[in-house]
Amino acid sequence: MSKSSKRGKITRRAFIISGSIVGGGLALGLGGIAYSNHKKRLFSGLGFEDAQALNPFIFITSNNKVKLAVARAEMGQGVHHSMAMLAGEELDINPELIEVIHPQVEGPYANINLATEYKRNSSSDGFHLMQKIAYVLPYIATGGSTSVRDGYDHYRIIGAQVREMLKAAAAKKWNTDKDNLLAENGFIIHPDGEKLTYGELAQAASEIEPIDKPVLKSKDEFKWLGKDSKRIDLRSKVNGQAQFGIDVRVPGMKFGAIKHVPIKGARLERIVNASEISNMPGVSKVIQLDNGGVVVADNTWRAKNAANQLKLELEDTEFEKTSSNDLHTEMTGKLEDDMQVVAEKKGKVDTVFKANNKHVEATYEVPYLAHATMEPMNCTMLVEEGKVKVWVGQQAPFLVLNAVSKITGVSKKNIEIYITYLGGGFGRRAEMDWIQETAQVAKEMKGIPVQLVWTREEDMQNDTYRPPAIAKMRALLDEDNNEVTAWEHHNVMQSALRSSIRRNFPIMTPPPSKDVNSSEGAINLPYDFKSSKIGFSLIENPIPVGFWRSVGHSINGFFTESFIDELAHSANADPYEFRRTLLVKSPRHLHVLNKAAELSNWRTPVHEHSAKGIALHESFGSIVAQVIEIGVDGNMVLLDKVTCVIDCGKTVNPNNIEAQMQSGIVYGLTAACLGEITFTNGKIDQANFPTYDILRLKHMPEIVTHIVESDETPGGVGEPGTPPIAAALCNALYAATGQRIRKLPLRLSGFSFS
Amino acid sequence: MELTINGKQYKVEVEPQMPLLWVLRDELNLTGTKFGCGIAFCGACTVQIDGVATRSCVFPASAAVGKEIKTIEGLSHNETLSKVQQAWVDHQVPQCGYCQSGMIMAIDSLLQTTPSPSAEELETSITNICRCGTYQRVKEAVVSIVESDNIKE
Ligand code: FES
Ligand code: FES
Repeated sequence: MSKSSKRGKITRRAFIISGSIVGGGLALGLGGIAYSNHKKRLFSGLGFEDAQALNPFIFITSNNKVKLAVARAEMGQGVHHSMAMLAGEELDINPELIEVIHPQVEGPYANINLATEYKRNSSSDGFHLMQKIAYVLPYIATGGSTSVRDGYDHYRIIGAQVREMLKAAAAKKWNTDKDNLLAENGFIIHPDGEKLTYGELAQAASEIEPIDKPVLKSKDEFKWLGKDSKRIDLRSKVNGQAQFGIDVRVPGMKFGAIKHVPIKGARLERIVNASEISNMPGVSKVIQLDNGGVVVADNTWRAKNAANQLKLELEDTEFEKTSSNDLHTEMTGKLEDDMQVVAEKKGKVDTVFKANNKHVEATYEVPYLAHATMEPMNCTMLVEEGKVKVWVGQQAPFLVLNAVSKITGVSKKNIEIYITYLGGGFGRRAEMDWIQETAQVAKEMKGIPVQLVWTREEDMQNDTYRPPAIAKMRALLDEDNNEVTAWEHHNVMQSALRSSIRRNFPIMTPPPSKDVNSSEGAINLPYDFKSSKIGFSLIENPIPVGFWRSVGHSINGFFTESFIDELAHSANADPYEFRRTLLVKSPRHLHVLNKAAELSNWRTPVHEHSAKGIALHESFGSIVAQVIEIGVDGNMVLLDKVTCVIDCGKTVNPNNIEAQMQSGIVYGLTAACLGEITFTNGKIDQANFPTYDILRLKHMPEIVTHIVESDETPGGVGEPGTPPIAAALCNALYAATGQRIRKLPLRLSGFSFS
Repeated sequence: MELTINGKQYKVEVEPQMPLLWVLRDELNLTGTKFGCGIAFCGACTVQIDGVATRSCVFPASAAVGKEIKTIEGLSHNETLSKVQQAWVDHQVPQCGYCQSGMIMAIDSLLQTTPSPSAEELETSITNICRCGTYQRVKEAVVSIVESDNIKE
C-alpha cells in the first residue's frame, strides 16, 4: 500500500494491522515490541493528517516539521517538552522545534510505568501480562510523577529508531552504507557533504523495517538532554493562544452551568422551579441529573446565573447530621485501636515499648484539602447519532472513553477525545465526575455541542479532596540517644485510592490491605530504626477523596519528618546531625541531606527571631531535602528562604526541575499555612478563594534549588517537592518559638504570614 | 453596545450588567482572558481598561463602552511578543499557564505607571493567584525587565 494514497484518508482508527499498514508494518510502539500479529487497531493518527507516520509517535511533514505524539496531560509540569527532549535528542533535532500533540486514546500510548510496577521492557520477549493489559485498556493516564520514568528510555528508543530509518532511507538513495551517514539537526548528511532533510526522507523511511534495539547516544553525546531547554508550550501561554478545555469553541455550541446537591451523599429528587428557570433569558434547557441541576444557555454567565437560582429538593440526606467535629471524634477514637492494616513491621516493637516507658509520643493531624486548580472543572462534548466528540483537559482519558461510551451508548471506536492543556491538574483531573455530567447533558442536547463549566464555588465544594488524617506516633531512643530502638506510626484516615477507584473503576477497588497510598511515605523510610510498626486504619464517609499532589506523601511526609525532629530534640541533638546518624544505610539520602545543610549554611547561626527547619523525604523515585529559614515576629511568620536539594537520578530539563521544585514547595506551603476544608451539617463550608486562600507573591520565600548530579534511574519531579516542606516549616517554627505545631494548617494556631 | 477591544470595534447585544469577561469569552471568542473565581479575587480575568488593570469578571460590559479595552491577545504586535511576554518566555515563567494572561496584563499595567517598582510595590500591587506557584520567576522576570530598561536609559 503506498503511503501517499493512504495519507489524507486517515480516518478514525484507520491504522488497522492487516498485513501491511501505513508505516509499512512498523507502527509498533512500545519501543519496538512486536505487536503486529494482533489484528487490532493500533493508532489512528488523528490530528497528524499532514505528516508521514514513522511510528505511532513520530510524524514528519514534507517541510521537515517533526510532530510528536505524547499522550500525557500537560498540566504545567512540562511533560510535553520533556518528551520532545527525549525523542528529539536521539532523532537529533532541537526539541524546541518539535510540535507535540496529544493523540487519541490508543494502545501504543499506554503509561506502562503507572499501570504496572514493572519497568518497560523494550525487547520483544518478556512482554509482561500487565503491559498487555495496559496496552489493551489502553491505560493512558498521567500521574504519580511517572511520565519521564515511563518515557525516559522509551521516547529515546522511538527517536533512535526513526533516526536509523531515515539514515537507511538516505543510504538507499545514495547507494551507500547507512553507517557512513550522519543525522544532525534535521538533516541526514553524506560524507561528501550532501544533505537531505528528514522531511524529504520521511516517506521512504516509513518503508524501512525498524530495528528493535537501536544504539542510543551516550551521555557525552547529548546535545539537549540534561541541559536547560525552553519549553515549547510557553509561547502560546503568554499570548493567550494556548487552548485550555474552557477555551474550546465549536460552532453552534451552548454553555452549561450546574448546581450540585449541597449535602454530601444526597441525591436530587426534583428541581422545584425548572419551568420558571427555563424561561430566563438565553436559557435553552434545564436538565435534572442525579447529583444536581444543569442549565444550558447561550452564554456561561446566563447559564450560571440561572443555575444559581435552581431550587433543589433532595433525598438521601442522612449526612446532614454530620459535621467536621463528629468526624474528628470518630477518627480520634480509632487511634487507640489496633491498626487495621500493618504496612511494615520490623522486629518486636511491642516488646521493646513494653520494656521501657520513656518513649516519645505525639498525635498529628491534617485536614481535607481542595486541589483548587486555577481552571475550574469543565468539559465540552458533542453527541450525535452513533458518534461523540469530547474536548477536555483530563489526566486519565482511558477512563473518559469508558465513561462516555457507557453514558451515551456510543461504541468506543466512534468516540474522539481531544485532550487540551490543563489549567492545573494536581490529581483532580484524574477524575471524571464533571465529564460524566457533561455526557448526560450532551446526550440530552443531541446535535448541539455543550460546554459545562463549574463555577469556583461548585469546584471548591465538589472536589475529590485530599483525605484528612490523624496519626499517633511513638518512638523510643536507646540510652545514649543514638539509636531509635522502636518506631510506631498509626494513621487513621480516609483512603484516597479506594475512594477514587470505587468512583472510576469499581471492579478494581482494592481491599484496605492493598491501599498503597495510605502508607506511602510512612514506610520504607531511609532511617535505620531497630524495630518498627507502621500502618493505618480507614474510615468511610460520603465525602469523596482522591489523589492530591504527592497523595499519601503529602500526609506522611509531614508526620514522619516532624516526629523525627521531635526525637532529635528529645535526644538533645541537632536535627540535622540526628538524621545523619540514622542514615548510615542510605548514602543517597545522606548526600542530599548534607548538600541541603551545606547550601543553607545550616551551622551558621541566624538572627534573633529567625530559625531554620530541615526535612528529608523520598517520593516517586526522587529524594528531596529542604531547609526553610523563617523570621517570627509575634504571630507573624516571615517565609524567608527555602534551600531545596533533589536527587532525581538522570535529568531531562534541569530548568523545569527547578520550576517543579518551586511549584511543589509553594503548593505545600499554601497547605501548611492556610489550607483547610471543613463541613457542617453535611455541607462543605468553604466556597471560593476568600475562604480557601492561596499564598501570593508577597508571601514567597526565595527558593534556591540544587539538583544532584546522578546517573540513577530517573525519578519524578512534579510531586516530590511538596511532601517535606510542611515539616521543615514546623521544625523551623519549633526552633524559633519552642512551640511544636502538630496540626495543620498553621493558621489555626494563630499564625499569619508575610 | 459597541466596544473597542485591542483597537478593533465590536458590536454586541448583551445585558448591560453582563461582566466584560463573558462578553470577551463567550460572545467574541476572545478566550485568552480566563475565568478563575468570578468575584474579583484571583486576577485570572485581568484586562486593561484605558491602561488600568481591571478584573473583568465583575466589570459590567456597559461600563467599558467608549474606553480602550486591551486583552492578552492585543499585547503582542503581530508575531512579536511584548516586553513582558518575552521576559516570561526568557525566564520560563508559566507552568500550566492558566493564570498568566491575567498576571501578564496586571504586570504590564503596573510597569506602565511604575516602570521601576520596588519589591514592596510589586508585592502589594500584584495579588493574582498562581496555583502552580510561579511567583519566584514572575519576580525574576520583572527584575530583568526593570534592569534592562535602566540600562537602556
Ligand atoms: S476571575 Fe476575575 S478575579 Fe478571579
Ligand atoms: S501557571 Fe498555573 S496557575 Fe499560574
